[in-house]
Amino acid sequence: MKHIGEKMNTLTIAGKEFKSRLFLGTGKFAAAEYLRKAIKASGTELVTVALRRVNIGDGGDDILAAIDTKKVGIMLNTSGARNAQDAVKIARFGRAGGYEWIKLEIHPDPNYLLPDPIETLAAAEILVKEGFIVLPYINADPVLAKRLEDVGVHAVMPLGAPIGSNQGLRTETMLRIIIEQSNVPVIIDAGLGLPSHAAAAIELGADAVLVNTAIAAAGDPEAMAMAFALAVKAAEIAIKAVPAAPGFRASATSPLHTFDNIV
Amino acid sequence: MFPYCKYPENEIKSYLQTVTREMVRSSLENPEPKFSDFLNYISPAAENVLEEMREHAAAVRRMYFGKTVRLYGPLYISNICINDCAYCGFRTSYHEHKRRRLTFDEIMAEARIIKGYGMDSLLLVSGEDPVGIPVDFLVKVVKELKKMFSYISIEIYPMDRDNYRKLFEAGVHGLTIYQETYDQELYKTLHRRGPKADYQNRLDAMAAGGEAGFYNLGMGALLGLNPDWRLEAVSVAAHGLWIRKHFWRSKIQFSFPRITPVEGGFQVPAPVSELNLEQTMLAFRLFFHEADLFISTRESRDFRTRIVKTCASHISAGSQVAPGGYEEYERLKDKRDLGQFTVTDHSSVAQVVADMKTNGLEPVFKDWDASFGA
Repeated sequence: MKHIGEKMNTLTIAGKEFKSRLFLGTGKFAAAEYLRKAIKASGTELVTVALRRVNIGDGGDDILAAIDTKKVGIMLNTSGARNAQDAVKIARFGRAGGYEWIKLEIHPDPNYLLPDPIETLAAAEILVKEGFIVLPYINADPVLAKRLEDVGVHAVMPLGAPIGSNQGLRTETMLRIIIEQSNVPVIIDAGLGLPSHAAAAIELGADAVLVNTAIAAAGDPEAMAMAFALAVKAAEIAIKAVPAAPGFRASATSPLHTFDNIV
Repeated sequence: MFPYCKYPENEIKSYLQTVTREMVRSSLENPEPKFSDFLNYISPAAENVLEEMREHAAAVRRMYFGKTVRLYGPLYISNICINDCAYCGFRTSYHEHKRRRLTFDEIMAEARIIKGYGMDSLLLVSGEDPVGIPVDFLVKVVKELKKMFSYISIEIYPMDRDNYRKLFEAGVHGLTIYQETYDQELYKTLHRRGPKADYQNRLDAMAAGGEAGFYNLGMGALLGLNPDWRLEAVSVAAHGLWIRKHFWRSKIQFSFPRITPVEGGFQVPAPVSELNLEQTMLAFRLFFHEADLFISTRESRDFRTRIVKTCASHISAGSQVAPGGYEEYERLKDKRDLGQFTVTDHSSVAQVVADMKTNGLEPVFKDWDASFGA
């Protein structure tokens, strides 16, 4: 989705349709039970899971058991990888366990956990060629987003602020450019600390948001998950209602005919 | 209309009629213009808001281009053409004038004159003459010209990606092709013979250029062919957006050629006024903040000076639009050969430079240093 005022189209990633534009990260939950409740309250249809959670061939992991895979898809997160080689290895292990969707996350810097653009691009190219569904986590770098699109990724996931910082859309200026220029879905991931941040992300034109810390580390994760879901839904409804605010599409005659995305 | 538009022609046309002055003014307030703003700018109602549009356009232009204006010179290498476009001086059915195709040496002689005027940016133009001007010859020509000019762009017959790539590697970095009219029915009546009769093939050439990697991709419609010049502008804009979406590494450019009287007489079906032309260019500047907008010597000196202040980023000067025209002009101080269009502004490069400076603009001849390589 590119511009506010345009009817929101269905969210489709790699041919799969999603009714919810809120995705969840499953790290940092105190216990699987909190995760299960949060997933339910959020209405999410896609979560990320780190490989260390996935005991290939075992299937008995606590966290995994909290996820109803009939309703919720799983993206394998390559978090822990410091370079492309690591990430590719993780993805291939995951494939052995039946995971095809990969959230490509490579952060060699343990301080801010910022993603390495060079390793990410290299890994993306390999994984796309090997048939994975690749969703790379990146800094809000518009050119990198286009380079990744060129190699065939299925979405891009630019950060709003460093992981766990809960600061919201600090990278807004760049996010706007990515949203404008992207031909694949844009999922804002990392740094969203409050439901209002998530709403703002959707209002900005993002196709979805991914939230982890803000929900997992909340006093009441289940309630926070619902709050985020409501915020995302509120933003979606508002967009369809065509806001009258200045700077947004305001048309005296024909609110639906904005002609945005004419091509 | 541009065939990949997601909205039908009649919807756009109805919308244009509903635009009010207030809507145009409110568009001017919008810091991030959307396509409906472009439609507002091209609408009939906007004719009453032109002065404000000029002011805003000038501010946008200053933001993206500063005080600079780029100079370029066209070099016509052949007026032999196998197409029969009803409106063009080069059409194959026009037998009254001898045609000329320059030799390699003659091309270089023209180039030296243009270089002598101070130009460093060359637009190589030719009629559709694939037998006389094959790609390999062009490659040879370009390689030699690249020793003289930092930047070369071409406006020649449509090619496929591989041939464009050969030209790119030889040193051509820009491609211009006018669809002439995006109205497929009208297109058919104006292009009855030759390869140009194929509408889709011509449209595809711009994408082929994008795939070949040209840094600049220039589009335009020939104003005066289609009575609905507003719809034509919408098509050009949509084409630009489509190209920008698919070829993010390339810069989009727009030209606004207005049909001029040509030899052999062609009744201009729907003449576009100078004010209409200005409105069109303003609409493009206000919507495409960063796109290059070209103004050629088809237009008057006054108009050109005015339009450079508000919209245009590129201006040609001292142009001769017939093959061998520069040599002939220097020798005879007159033009005799068959030109593609009628030049209105005969100002020399020096005069244009002076006009630009008088109007607070800084003419720039060199945009890209050839010494860095292709």
